[in-house]
Amino acid sequence: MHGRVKVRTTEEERERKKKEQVLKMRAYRAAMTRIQKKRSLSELDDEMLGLTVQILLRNPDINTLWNIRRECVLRKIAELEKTIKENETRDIQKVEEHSEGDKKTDDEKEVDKKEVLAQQLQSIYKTELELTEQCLMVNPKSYNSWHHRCWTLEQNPEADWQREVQLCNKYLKYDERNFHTWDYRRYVSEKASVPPEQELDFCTDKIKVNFSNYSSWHHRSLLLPTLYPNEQQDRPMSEHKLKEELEMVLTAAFTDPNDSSAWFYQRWLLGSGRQSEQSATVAAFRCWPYKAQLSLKSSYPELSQLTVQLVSEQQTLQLQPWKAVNSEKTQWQCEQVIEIEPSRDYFLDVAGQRKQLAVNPNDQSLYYFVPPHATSSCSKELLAELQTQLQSCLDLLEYEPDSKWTLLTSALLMRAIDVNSYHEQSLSHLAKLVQVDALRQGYYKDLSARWTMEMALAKWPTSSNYPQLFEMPTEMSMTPYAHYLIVADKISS
Amino acid sequence: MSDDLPEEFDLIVIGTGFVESCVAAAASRIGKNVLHIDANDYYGDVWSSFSLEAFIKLLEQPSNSLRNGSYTWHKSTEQEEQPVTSWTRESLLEKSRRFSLDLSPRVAYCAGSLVQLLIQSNICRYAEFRSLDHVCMLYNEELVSVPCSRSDVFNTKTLTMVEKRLLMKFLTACNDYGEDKCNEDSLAFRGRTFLEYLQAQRVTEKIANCVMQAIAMCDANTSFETGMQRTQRFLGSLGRYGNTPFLFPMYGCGELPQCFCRLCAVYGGIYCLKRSVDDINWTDSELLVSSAGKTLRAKHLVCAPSQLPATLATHFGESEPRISRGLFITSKPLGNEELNKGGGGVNLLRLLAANGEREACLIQLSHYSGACPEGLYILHLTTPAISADPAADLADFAAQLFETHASQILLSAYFTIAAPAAEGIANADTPILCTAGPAYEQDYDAAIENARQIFSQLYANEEFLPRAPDPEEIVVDGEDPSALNEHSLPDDLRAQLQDLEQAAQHMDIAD
Amino acid sequence: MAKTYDYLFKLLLIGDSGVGKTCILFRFSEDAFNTTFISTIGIDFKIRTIELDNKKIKLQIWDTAGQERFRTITTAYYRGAMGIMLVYDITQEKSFENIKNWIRNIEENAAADVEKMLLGNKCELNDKRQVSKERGEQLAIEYGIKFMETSAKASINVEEAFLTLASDIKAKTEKRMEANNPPKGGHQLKLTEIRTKDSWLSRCSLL
Repeated sequence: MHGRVKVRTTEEERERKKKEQVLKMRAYRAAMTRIQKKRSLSELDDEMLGLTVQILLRNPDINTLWNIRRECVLRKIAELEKTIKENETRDIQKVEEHSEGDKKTDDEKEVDKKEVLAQQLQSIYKTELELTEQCLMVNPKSYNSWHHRCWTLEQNPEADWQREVQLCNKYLKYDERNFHTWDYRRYVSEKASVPPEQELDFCTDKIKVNFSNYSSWHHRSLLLPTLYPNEQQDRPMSEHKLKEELEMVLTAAFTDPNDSSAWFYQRWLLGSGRQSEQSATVAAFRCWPYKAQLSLKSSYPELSQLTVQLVSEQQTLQLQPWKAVNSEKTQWQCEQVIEIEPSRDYFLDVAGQRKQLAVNPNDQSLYYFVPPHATSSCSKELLAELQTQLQSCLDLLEYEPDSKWTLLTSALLMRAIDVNSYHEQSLSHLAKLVQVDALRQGYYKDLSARWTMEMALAKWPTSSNYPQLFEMPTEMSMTPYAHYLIVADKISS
Repeated sequence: MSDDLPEEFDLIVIGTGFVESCVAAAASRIGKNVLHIDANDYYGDVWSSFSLEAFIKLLEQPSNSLRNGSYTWHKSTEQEEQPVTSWTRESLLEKSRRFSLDLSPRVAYCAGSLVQLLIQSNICRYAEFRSLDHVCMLYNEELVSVPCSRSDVFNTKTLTMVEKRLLMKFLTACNDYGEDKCNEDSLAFRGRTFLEYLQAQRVTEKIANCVMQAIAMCDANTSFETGMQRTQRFLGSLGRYGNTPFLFPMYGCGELPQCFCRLCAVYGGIYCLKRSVDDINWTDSELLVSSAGKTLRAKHLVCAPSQLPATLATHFGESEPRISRGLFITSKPLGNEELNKGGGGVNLLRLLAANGEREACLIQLSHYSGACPEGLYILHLTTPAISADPAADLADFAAQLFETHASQILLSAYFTIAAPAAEGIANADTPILCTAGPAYEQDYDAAIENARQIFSQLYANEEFLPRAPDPEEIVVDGEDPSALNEHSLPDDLRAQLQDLEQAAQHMDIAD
Repeated sequence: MAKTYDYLFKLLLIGDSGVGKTCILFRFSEDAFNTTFISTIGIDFKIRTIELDNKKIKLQIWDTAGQERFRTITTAYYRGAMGIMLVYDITQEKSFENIKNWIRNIEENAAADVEKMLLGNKCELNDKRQVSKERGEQLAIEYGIKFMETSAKASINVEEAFLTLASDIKAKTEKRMEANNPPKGGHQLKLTEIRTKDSWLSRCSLL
């Protein structure tokens, strides 16, 4: 009686598992065969729904089965709706047949029947939602389950979106980084009209729990520009809020400089705000009697779709067609005869943006040029915050002179405060980074080249050689912004 | 209950305290025939938890192991507050059963020896824990929460941005320490104190306080290596359960010995409470225990010092004060709202006496620990005994807590836990293996070590508390171990197979 | 997060030695009955998942591990229990009388709102009956709990008894959840995967 406990050996356990596997396989095959047979006979009934559940609960990623379920659900709904319609027509007939006297009781019965049908309809949706919920418990990253859930909700005009938001809360408690849930959350919170303030609070709470979370920083970056819009559009959000966000993200970065999520968010905050420029913004333009060249700040898929006009008081000339000169599609050329009278005032009009053109004294061509990334001014308040942050970074560099992250951040902060006066110092940080972080030296060299070129281009219009001669800065490993130089006749190095 | 109790055992364990229960479970687990008895009518001995009523009764009856008991009821001084919340002695006693008042309360590191043992042996399925809410320190007489985890450091308002970086950097360095034995620091600070190392890291005073008081739990004399080890233990316990590195057993520490007893019983151990031992005799091959007019025979015997029969106690040396305890029931938690969110935190605070030479540990329990009713708080104060007067031993620490922090104390109690000195136990010339009794420590390291050592004395080559298999892994008598029992299938598969069978009967489908 | 049930209920079996608690447990969980002796060493609970109103309920049913023999059931045994089966043997008057003591024990140690049910086991042994069905019913009424006579051996009412208890607990749980008053819980320690040394940082990193 006092023997030791007998436990299955691994061999015995393996054998049991094998037997179980065989049974599972047999059940799976049988169900699949039955499903295919029923589908070919177009039997989209409750049995079919039951069969697919059996398999999906074990493997939620068989898309065909979800498709079959959708067919079944649609058929069930159609049948129900047909019943409802038939009832209605019968009603009308009844109303015509019956006298005023018994109408009331019939009405009551009718209300009951309608309710029953409506409930039946809701229970169809409910079944689908419960199934996806169970599947998501098995695999919280199942694309097909998430998709089926969205589809079900879209079908139901009375879908309870609020409940879906709660579900997201629950799921994000289990795994705060599941980007499927974050995507789904954006979708349902919009449907449920959750106030963005509330979403932001939720997001803040999640970051407090663990700031190593790309998804929640990203969620934030989508909410803030609408909640706290920036009027000039040269910053991602209002300066007041930006100040708070910068403080928060710098705290995260100071807490753990090796975490990259905060780092990415900070770069976004210090950026110019416009995420992707849908409109074509003119960077440089030049036009001779036989052709025109146009450079854009960022690439544009097909310039010929836009109206590009050369406008003077006397006439408006349509320029087209345009051909891309470079593969990035930032530089375009149009070969066309263009009559230019240098004494007149000319304007370039690109989809409504109007730029005044100047005349090149050398060849009488018309040109327009604006340097990339003109510094935007910022309020005293924001400037003070940026300066405090820069000081914190510089303090930290005293302790950790080789901290990659601090070197880069302080360089970015310097440029956000004053590009001109900090130009040399920010470049020296990059030079140091090339040494301490050789793995990413290419990135730092590129950045260095960009900043150098930006500075040279910014200074160029005030130089005596402008626009004929552009002096290329020394030690450039690459030439960014080359398309801005269409304005120059000659480039010296 | 003069009973059908068998009379012969491999091992008799007397006393159901933590160490004895550990040994009993370990012996039963490897198939030994164990009788486990206790003179008291409750489990746990000096490791037990009590209802309020039982606790007061206990203080009134001094024993060998629990003495110098005293208690005072205090009138609530709260007048301006609404009378609904004012507690009286009567209203407390009405809720007597809702209290689990520990004699030997402790916290456990999330990756510490207790947690490891519970998980490794699968005894964890009998227990539930509350993750501590805050680890606190006194800073400028203010009770503040020490940032433990990375998210604490991120969220705290008490540190500046640069301080956050310095603290994180320091902790990361400690965490990585030891991977490289020839590391500069380990060479430079060998033989020096941890405080010297900390000062060399150019941290601010506040950070030094966080580390010394709460994280490394050091004093000025703690060696560099020990400080490092403790810091690593703290860090290694983070990120497992909750926000701090500590756990407290739900319903009090008195649950823990019971968990081990349960395992012992599951493996066939027999339990008898309220069964005192009159005498123990021995021959060359066995021990004879006289109890309730019966003689029980065993190959080995393990006994708690508190339950030794009077005739034998002298062999093990005089019992002397070991731990001085204070226990306070209050209607207001210590510290501000931030430290007691949602009706009270389960918090830990290490206190140092003014001269820096003595320390005490304070555990604050709220109703979240399951150890007291909502709206009340238990403060457990523990320090190594230096006299037979627990109140005097704790006076300095109590002053630090209660003089500057207004607290509504309803009941204050003091007592001493006593045990014979370790040398006395080690030198006793009997075949009885006597356990050590509770010592002042964080976690259960010494207690578990004591149990392990006794077990290896008994059964030298056996494994100490190997994992107990889950019920579904066990082969029941007469069962084919490799057969697939229908009940072990997932139920939806089972249902599906039943459907298949039915369908096959109806339609004759072959697969 | 992969969790294959909606609710987990902890149930206890309580009653004198020899009333057939373990047999009831094995009848319900394994649909097996062994008249000689079922070795229960090492088994302290059994699990069975049932389905009620489309919800999967995992029942974890704990046995007393022999600690009822000298009335030394630990207080810890009662912690977190949501339902208790009180079992007596209809052929043992004493086991029926002791039910009152067990109920007192439960009141002292278990949660106040624990769901209870009374079972008179071994009802297949009608010729040896010492406790009439009426007395069982009467006692159950006295305590306001449900009652059934069962036979683990003949498989009578065992399934029904557990389903009844589970469905009562489920109703109570759902009511509490609707009132948005979820039970407060502690941590159950689990053997988590071996963590790396940097787990305390739990950061995400691309670099």
